[in-house]
Amino acid sequence: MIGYLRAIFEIASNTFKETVRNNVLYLVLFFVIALIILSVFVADWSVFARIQVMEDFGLATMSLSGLLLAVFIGVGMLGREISQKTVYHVITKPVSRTQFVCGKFAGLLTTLLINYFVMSVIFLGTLKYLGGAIHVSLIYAILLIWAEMSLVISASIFFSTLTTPMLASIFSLAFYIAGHLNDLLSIKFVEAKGSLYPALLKAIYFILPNLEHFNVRDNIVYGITLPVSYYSYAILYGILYTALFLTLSCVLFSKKDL
Amino acid sequence: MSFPAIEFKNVYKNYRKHFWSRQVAAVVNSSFAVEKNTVTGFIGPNGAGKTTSIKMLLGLIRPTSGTVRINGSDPLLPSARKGVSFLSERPYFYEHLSVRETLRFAHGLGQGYAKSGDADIGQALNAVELSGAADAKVKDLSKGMQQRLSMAQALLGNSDIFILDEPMSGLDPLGRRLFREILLALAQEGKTIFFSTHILDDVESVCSHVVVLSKGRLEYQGQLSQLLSQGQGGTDCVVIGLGDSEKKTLASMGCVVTKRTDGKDIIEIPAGKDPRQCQQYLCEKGLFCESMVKRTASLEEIIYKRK
Repeated sequence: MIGYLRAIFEIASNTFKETVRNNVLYLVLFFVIALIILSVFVADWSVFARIQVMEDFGLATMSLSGLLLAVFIGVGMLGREISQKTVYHVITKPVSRTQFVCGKFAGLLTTLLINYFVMSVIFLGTLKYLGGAIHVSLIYAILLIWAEMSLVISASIFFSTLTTPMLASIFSLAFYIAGHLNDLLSIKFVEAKGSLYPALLKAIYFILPNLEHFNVRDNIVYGITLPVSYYSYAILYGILYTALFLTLSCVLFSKKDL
Repeated sequence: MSFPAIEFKNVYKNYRKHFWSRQVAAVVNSSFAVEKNTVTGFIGPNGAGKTTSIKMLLGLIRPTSGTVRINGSDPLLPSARKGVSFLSERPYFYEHLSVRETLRFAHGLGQGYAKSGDADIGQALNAVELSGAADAKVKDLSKGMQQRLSMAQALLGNSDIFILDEPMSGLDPLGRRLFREILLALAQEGKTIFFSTHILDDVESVCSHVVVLSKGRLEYQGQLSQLLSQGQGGTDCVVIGLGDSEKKTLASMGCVVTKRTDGKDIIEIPAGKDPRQCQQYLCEKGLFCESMVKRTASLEEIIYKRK
C-alpha cells in the first residue's frame, strides 16, 4: 500500500513541478490579481456598493481562472504525456495506469489549491483593506470554487483520455458552460412536448453535473446566509462527480494503446 | 517453476491509424522465447514489428490475440514490470526536470529498489559518464547525452531484465563503445538483455542469441553462432600463374576461378568440399598457393540472403 501511494506521490510531485515551472500558471495568476485590483475601480462605476461588486467580481474571476488553468494546463498535460511519449517513462515502471491518472490529478489539484490560496489571500486582503468584512460565507464560497475546479479538472482529464488535446479543451469549456446552464434544462424538460425529447433532456440534466450548485455569488452579494449543510452537500456533490470522472478516466486510460 | 524471461505465443497485433482506416498487421503469429541470462538481439528492417513487440512486452499496448509474458507474468500487470528496465528508441523525458531530478523520479517510481536513491543515481551517472551534467536541464542535453541519460535510468535499481529499443541510436563512436561495454558488463553479471537494433555489428559483438523479424513475422530464433554458421561459404585460395588446363580441372572439381585486378587468380572452393584436395592438386602442378581464407558471410549478408 505504501509503495502504491508512493508512486502516486512521485507522479503528483512531478506534475506539480511541471505546472509550477509553466509560464501559463503565472500569466493566469497575474491576470486574476490584475482583475481583482481592477474590480476596485470597476466597483465605483456600479450602482451597487463597492464591496458587493468586488465580492461578486472576485469570486467570478477565481472561478474563471480555475477553468483557464484546467483547460490550458490540465488538458494539455495528459495529452502531451501521450503525444510526446513521456508517459513511457512512467508506465514502463511497476506503476499502474490508475496510479498515473490519480498522480496527475493530485499534482494538478495541488497546484490549483496553492494558486487559489494565493488568489484568496489577495482577494480577501483587498476586501479587508477597503473596509469590507470577511464573512464565513465568503470562505465557504471559495471552498465551493475549489470543489468546482476539482470537478472541472477531473472532467478535463477524462476528456483528454478520450480525444486529442484540442478537442479535449473544447469539450472542457463546453462542459463548464453547459454545467452552469444545467438549471435551464430542468425548465425545458418540464415544458417540452412528446416523450423522447423531454426524456433526453431529463437524462442530460441528471448526467451532467450542475455547476450552479457551486455558485453562491448572488447569496454573498445580497447577504443571504445559506445553511452549512448546503455547503457540505455541494462539496460532497463535487467530490462524488470528481470520483466518477476519475474512475472513468482510469478505465479508459487503462484500455488505451500508448 | 522455470519460465523464460520473455515469451511470445502466437501473438498478433493489428492496428488502424484512424478510426476509418483499414487494419494493418504489425505482428503476425509471432512465437519466440528469450531465456534468462542471455543477451538477445532483436533484429529486422524498419516496420518489421520490433517496436510494436517491445511495446506489448512492456504493457504499453495489448496484443490483438496471443499471449505475451515477461518473467512469467502478463506485462499489463504493474507487478510484472518489477525488475525490468527499459530504454526507448528516442529519449522521452520531462523537459522541465534536470538530469538528477529525472533519475530521482525514475528511482521513486521503481518500487523495491534496494539501494538508496542518491547512491544508485550517482553510480548510474558515473557508468554513463554523465556525472558532470547532473544538474543540467534535460532539454539542454544533446541527443547522445539524452541517450546516455536513458541508459542511466535503465541502470537504476539493479534490474534483472533489460529491454532496450535501439539503444545505440544517436550515439557517437565513443558512446557506442561505452554502451557496448555496459551491455557486456551486464551480461557478465547474468542479466537478461533483449535489445532491438539495426546495427548488426553490435549484435555480433554483444549477443549470444538472436530473434529476427520481418514484416511482422518471425524469421529466425536461436543462437547467433548457429545463424552465423549458415554463412560458412567455403574457402578462397589465391594463386599465381594458373593455366587453362588447371582452370578446367579445378572447374571439374566444382571450384570457380576468377581473375583479380592484380593478375592473380582466386579459386573459390565451395562449402562442403575439402580444400586440401585442391591444395594437393596445386602442389602436384608446382603452383604456389599464396593465401587460403575461409569465406564467412556477415550477419547482414546472412539475413539479407534469407529474405
